[in-house]
Amino acid sequence: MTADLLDQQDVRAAMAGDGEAYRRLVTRHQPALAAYLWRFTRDRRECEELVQETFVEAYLSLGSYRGRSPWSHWLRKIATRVGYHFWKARARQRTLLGMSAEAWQRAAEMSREMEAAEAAEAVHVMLARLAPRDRLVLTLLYLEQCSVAEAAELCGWTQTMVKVQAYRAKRRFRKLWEAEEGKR
Amino acid sequence: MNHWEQFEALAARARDESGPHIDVTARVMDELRRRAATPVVDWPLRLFSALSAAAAVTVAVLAIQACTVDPLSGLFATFTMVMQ
Repeated sequence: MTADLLDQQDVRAAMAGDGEAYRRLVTRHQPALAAYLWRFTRDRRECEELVQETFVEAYLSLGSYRGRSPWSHWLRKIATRVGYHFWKARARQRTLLGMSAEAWQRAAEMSREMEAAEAAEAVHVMLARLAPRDRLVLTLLYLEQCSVAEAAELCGWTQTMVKVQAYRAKRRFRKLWEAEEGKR
Repeated sequence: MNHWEQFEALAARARDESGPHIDVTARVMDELRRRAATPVVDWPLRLFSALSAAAAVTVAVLAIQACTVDPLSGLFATFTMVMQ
């Protein structure tokens, strides 16, 4: 039985009140979900909370799952919403996260020798300075390597909106770093 | 390397990172059990809905009455009375 069929079967059972079926879904999908939500926070405890919140929200809206797409896609859409709201709540703190333009440039130059986790940390700090919408679109397109259509589906936006948002986010990103360089 | 190229280089490296190994299964199931056990207190909402519905019905009845009465009929009745 394919993973998708197994999911559909467990989703139907969970909707009928089978707790064990939902437990199996959580166990099966949490590694992928944790990896995805790790893009939204670098704090393990926060990541656990986001994963938990996603599964709880998913359970509460199981009735709206129509089974037209794999359950994992539907779950990722919920996770995107949970992560985005988390960023919005944290937006006020973004000025507190800091990495100088110089330090970031050094990190970028050494990117090939860097550990993936270090590079991810540098990217996270960098993107944290952008508004949540800009951050979301850049994360999906450049870190998750989603296509425009996939990003649109995850965000609940139109494809045109994703393109426009990505264009603006890139422009703001450049401006931000030009301003940082100007401070030096 | 411009800023955007620097970002892309770092993002490419960052993509190789795997997420943390976590297990929230027990926490999720506990949370769902806790929510299922908590009775939903919805009587204030029901009361408010009933009051709103009653107010809406009253307004609708008054509006229908106002619409069915010709607003000029009162004026003409007075005028006719004066002429007589």
